[in-house]
Amino acid sequence: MTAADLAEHASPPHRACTQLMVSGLSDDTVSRFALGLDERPLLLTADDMAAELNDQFAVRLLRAGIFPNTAGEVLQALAQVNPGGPLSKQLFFLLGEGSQVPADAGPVQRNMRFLIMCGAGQEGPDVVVSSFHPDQGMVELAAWDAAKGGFNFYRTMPDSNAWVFAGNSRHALVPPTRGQGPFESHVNGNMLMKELKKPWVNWDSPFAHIPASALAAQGLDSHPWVGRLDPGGAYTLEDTGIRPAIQRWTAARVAAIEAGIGAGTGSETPVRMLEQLVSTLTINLASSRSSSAPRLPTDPGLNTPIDLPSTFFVDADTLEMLGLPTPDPLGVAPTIYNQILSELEVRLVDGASFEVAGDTKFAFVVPERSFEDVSTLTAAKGVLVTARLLACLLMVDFPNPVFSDRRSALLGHFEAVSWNGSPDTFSNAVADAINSSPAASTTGSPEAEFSANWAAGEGFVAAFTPRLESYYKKVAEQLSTIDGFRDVYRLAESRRAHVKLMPIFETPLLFSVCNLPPERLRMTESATVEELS
Amino acid sequence: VTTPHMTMVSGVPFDRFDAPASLTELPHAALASYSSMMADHAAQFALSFDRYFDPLAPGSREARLVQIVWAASPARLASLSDRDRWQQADATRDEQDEYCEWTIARQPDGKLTRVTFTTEVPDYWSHIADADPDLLLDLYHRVVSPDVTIDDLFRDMAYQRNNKWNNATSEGIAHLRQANNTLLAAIDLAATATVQRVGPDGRRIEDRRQLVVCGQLGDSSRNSDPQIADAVNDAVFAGSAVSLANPLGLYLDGIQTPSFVAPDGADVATLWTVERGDPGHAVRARFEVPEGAGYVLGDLTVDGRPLEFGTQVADKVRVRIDALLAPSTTQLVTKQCEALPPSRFAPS
Repeated sequence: MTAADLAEHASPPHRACTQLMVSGLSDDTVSRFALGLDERPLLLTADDMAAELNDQFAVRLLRAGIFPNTAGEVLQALAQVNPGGPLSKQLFFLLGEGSQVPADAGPVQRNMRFLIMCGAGQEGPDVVVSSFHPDQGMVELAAWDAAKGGFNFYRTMPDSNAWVFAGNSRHALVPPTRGQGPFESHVNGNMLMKELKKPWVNWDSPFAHIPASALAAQGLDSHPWVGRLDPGGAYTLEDTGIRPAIQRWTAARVAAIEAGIGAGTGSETPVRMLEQLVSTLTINLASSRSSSAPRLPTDPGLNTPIDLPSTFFVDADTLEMLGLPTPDPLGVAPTIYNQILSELEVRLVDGASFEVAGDTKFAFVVPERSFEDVSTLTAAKGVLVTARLLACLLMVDFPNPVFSDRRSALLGHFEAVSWNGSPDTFSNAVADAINSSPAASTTGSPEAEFSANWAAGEGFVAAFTPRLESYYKKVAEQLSTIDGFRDVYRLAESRRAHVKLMPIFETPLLFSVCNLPPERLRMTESATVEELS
Repeated sequence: VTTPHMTMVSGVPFDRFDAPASLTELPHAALASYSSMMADHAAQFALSFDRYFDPLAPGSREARLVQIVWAASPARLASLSDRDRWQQADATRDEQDEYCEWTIARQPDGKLTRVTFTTEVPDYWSHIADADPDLLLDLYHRVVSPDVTIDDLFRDMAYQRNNKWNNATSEGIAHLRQANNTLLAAIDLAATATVQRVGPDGRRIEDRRQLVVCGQLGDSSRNSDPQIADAVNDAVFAGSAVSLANPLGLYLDGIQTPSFVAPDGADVATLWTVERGDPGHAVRARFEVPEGAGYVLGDLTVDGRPLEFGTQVADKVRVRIDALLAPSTTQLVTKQCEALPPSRFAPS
């Protein structure tokens, strides 16, 4: 598989966030520059802002004539306008893809940055700031807009204290702003945290704190925010920040559809949510909880299997939500894992001079279905679509929970199905659209696979359970042999190659690399790995 | 202005060890003897480990408070499926080995109604038993049951930590009782972890699993031991001496509630009530829906799943120990770990 091959499967051409950097904007102003919609920054008047910007950052600062220039000034201003209130509760987090590499390993591109969460209530933060230093002028900021729902995305400009409003989460969902600017990576308008499950390879957390030597190597040992890092790190951020924020936006999306906003007019419909099920617009990264470092001969757990994320093998989180069985914990013997690392010359590189043998700090980092997808489908189930439809779509090519060409091929059949307020009617219409397609009568086609699934009727759990359980048994058998795990590792590399074409791939240290040639692979229901034609 | 000849923590003199959470129930003499016992421990560990300091020892030093936190649910069970893990950890407090234990209550139909957490150290309760048995009985009456008798708590004049009101499967809970969950064990871990471990190639061990196994710093599969050991070891390497803060203890650092959903949309954070200590130093708390709400704990969901087990709550409860870091120029103490293969980060 070449990069060009993979690019065919990536997002359409887009205008990246870097295009938001414009010079010459006047101080103390706010402009809207929603790429795809605006050709140039549009200066917002007070009335424009009142109509469009109703998040805490805009209401309390920008609309009140306060224009902070640096990240430190933003945080200070938020605390000053809300003394003792939610905005003055500011939690600091640190991440970096090379953050866990010890200092004596030599120079390495650690890509360290801070994320600051302000006003974290039960539904997540009001304002999230991403920056490297309090004095840094290049600030990216997202703030929840309670009036229209969704996050407003902002950034500062390089040569003034002007702010640019780059769009609201709703812009992410529809053309011409879909995939543009911040929505290149915030594809569905959501907060991003690549790893939304412990042990969080790249975050400071109770599972792996960033060593003092790494901080010192980056000159961060006396950084004013290091002493303020939340002791729970990613454990706090995930549970109290990002997951609730994602669920908040998801709830707003569902509520908007239920309320009939934009129904059938090209604005969001449940089809956009089903697209998240059949396609892979976003991913999260999962890993083993086991360190990839060699175990000592005296380790009581010397031969304890290295656990592998079940979501690599099947869409476990969505299956569970639908009442379908998930695998028992899966793992590989350390001897097999280490043999494959050695055979495939697995190593970490930073794209510059750094290179060491071995895997990421926690073993086997792979893409999984994103939490925002799971959250969206959970919220849609029974309200917008039936569990039966979700299950029947999900069970098409189920051994490939992400980057499934077979499942995404179904989207074209139901993109035009409109929403009339009934989950049953809508779901039946989607099923009819697929079942009535000519391809549904072609043996082996994804449409035929869906039709067979749909024929299970409301008894889909009983029908799908034996297929899943048989598959899980075969996966466990594969993992018990060197050849089987080699194939699994090849499949992992194939999926990582997809991620490397996504905007969230910002540094080579996100994954380990190896000597395998590029391949496009898929898992079969018999748990064998085969090349895609 | 003269600098006091003592340890200062954020400008506050460190002049004594209080009871955990600065609880005030001990009579003056009993509190003094408890404080003295903790001071002896600190002095003893400081004598044994060059980079563990006695905060009461003479000498001017400015120490910084550092909080070390971890999740309350046992990581040792992480290889099980979630449901098996929740069942197993709820079934016996022998499994609850993260310096936090809990007990659950259900209504007749099996629905969960209350989860009570404790980080109260048995060291403190044993001291109460020795110093003031009447107070001990009174505490049991207050936090466990009015039916507790003094004979239930003592055998041959010795306090029984695993008495029938505080054993592995009892419905009540007074304090920690799992074998590893003691304050002395935590102090010992923090002190021992100050020693730097190096491989045969002379390179410092940074992988926490290797560190814990090599240094025999508890159980590498727990949340707590590796986290405490790693944080302490790294701080020492970075130039600090370490001690533990007053009041010495293990604390409930709170509960992360956004992933819980109540049937009426209530703020789930309000279901967490600190019963002993204060919000900054909680040692006992319950998670329970107040009477009259029209539903019980088992009607909530967490992470989209029905709330059926206490361990699901424990997954969201944070446990904490407070360390002190003071600048140190004392030479690092290192010990070699013979069995370690060469570091992959060594220059080739």
